[in-house]
Amino acid sequence: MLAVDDMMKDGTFHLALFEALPVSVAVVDREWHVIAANKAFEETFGYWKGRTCHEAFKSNPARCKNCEARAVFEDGRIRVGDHQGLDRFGRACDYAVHFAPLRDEKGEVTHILEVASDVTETKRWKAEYDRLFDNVPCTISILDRDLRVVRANRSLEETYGRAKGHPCFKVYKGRTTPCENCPAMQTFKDGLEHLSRQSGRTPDGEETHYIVSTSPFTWDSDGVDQVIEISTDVTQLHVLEVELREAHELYQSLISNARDGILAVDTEGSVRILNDAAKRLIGWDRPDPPDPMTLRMMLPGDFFLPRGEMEQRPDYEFRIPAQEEGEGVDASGEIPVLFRAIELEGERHSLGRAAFLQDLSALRTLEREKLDNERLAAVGQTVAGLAHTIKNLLMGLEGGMYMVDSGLQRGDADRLSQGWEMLQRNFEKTSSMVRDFLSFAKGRVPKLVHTDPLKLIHEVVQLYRDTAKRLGVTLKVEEGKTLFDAPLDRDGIEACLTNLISNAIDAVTLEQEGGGEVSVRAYDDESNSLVFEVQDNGIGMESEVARQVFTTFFTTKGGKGTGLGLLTTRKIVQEHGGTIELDSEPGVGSTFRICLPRERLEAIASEQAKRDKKAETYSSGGRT
Amino acid sequence: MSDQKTILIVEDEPDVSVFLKTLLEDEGFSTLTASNGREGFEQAKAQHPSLITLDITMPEESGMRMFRDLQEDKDLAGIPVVIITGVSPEFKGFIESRNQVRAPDAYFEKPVNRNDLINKVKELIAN
Repeated sequence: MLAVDDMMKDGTFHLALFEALPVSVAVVDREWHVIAANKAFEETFGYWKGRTCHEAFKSNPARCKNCEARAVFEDGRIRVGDHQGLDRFGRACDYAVHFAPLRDEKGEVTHILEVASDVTETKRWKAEYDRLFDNVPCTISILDRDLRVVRANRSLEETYGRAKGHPCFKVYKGRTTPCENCPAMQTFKDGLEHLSRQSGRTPDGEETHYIVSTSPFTWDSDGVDQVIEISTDVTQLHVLEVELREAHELYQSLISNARDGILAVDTEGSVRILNDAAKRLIGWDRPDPPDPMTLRMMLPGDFFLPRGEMEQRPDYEFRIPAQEEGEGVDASGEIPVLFRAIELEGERHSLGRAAFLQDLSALRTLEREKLDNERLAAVGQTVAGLAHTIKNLLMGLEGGMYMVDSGLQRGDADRLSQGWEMLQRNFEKTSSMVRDFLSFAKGRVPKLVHTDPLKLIHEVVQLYRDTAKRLGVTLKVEEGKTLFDAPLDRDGIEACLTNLISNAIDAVTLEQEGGGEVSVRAYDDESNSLVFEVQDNGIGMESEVARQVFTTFFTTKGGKGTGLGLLTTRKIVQEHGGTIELDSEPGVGSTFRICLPRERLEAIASEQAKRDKKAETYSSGGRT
Repeated sequence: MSDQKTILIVEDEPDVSVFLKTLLEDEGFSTLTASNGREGFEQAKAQHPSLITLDITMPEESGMRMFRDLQEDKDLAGIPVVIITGVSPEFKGFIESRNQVRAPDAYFEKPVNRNDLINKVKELIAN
């Protein structure tokens, strides 16, 4: 115990110590006057001589309500209190004050030593820490060795309810026993940080997903005493992950089950997607995709054009050798494949490119079947029309026989000769029909060769120049744009044009004299069909008649025609995969139009090539 | 024969027309002929025949059209119509099942059996 008098007498050491203390020290008498204070005190609270302690500490004229110094004067026991004062600049400051009694020789408390430590910074840190602890966007708990929550931040209690005093497995997951692989238990054991992914459940039953990190918080002689557990909620992320995985699985399944081949490469040219259909169509049977160099040799060159140039490329068709004989395998034993490539554009840069490969063989088979069906239908209609003609001929013959029979019986010579004429006429018709029909039904296989359509027209028109001139008919070819050659059966198309031109000349000379005009032209229409047109300004036809001209043995030329001309024309046109149509108006004229889709002409030509190849194989002794 | 019945023959094939005309006249009917539907309808309107034989496939105007026109004309609707045609047998079913027109009174496919035709014509005219 230090007596005031001693301290005063004792000289320099204690005084120096007093002055040098890094805490504010003041000595206060029973009237609360500060009678001595050290340098730290003066630096903090300013001038003190002649002031009371409440004036010096707080610039407060009145005494503090709960003055610890008074109690110390009364019972002589040391006290500690938190106070807020004003420093010499008038700023609020927090300090902890230690009140110690100073006694005279008699042991009476005459003064009090007040030691004030500045805790302003500490207080601020604590406030900041508390705010941080409660407001960070993660849940924080401090656990004791029994995994009980000693402290929990606000975020934790808002999500999981009251936590303090409960074990963490109960709080986070509603469990009654600790979790397997508990990171907190590991930290208690080894004193290291641990990280793990956990799923929990809120009191409302909602599933939560979070990443928890545990680290030692306090230590005692037995090791880690408390563990701090910080969990970041990743529920949203988890949901996105699940959705992403599902989306990925969906695309994966769509791609692998697609009938069309799908292939994608990244910007380096490495294969990222190659489904089974694509493997089959590029003829790749190994499990690993081909490397960029190999791929370059397997795909059309357009696929490797610089970025931006590829977009202008239309669909591309290429052929691959067929692995086995199949329906759609074409003339050269190859499968036709439609190849369509696209750039894969990301938001900021290219992601690579993709290609879709479509096996066209089934489509080609269908197209061929359709063509065959149309040909069969044409034959069917022809036969039906033929039956009609035959019936009329039979009836005419029967009529002739009746007239002859009854004429003989009655001795009616006129009737007899009339019947005889009927018989002759119908026999003639029959033989002429049989002749035409044989040429129609000969089943001549069309032989398609590359032909200049305009040249063909000129050749046919040339045949009719003299006839037209004699009959006073203007016959002209309307020259249009130059046309590409087309695979045509020259004889067949020539027969069609001959028939149409001869019909047209008949139409303009039948009921009028002079002024007849027949125009012939060929052009490509907007759907890439080669069109031949024969137009006349003749008598024209009622729609009723026009409808029938291609479907029955139809003639308006009395005994002159057999009605087979237009049927034959139609048959040839259909063998070319084309159609024939008629625009006609009575008194104005008729236009016959033959439309031959160029694609179909090529298909038929390719089929013919295949047939020829087979025939060649057989004729060379079947060696392949 | 003052009450001689008249039959209108509508037929585009001249030989068939002559045959029917001769056949029917031999049976005591008087005949009129027309080579297409339009002409046939005009004749029917003017002469009011007791019966009409009608071909189906003809230029100008088809027998089908004439048959319908006859049904729609009050004066002519009652005249019996015998179809004589070279069109396939399915057509018989087709024409008999139309809602717009009644079924023809008789249907013969070319070449016709003479006796059957005569019997049918007589039967229809007697009614």
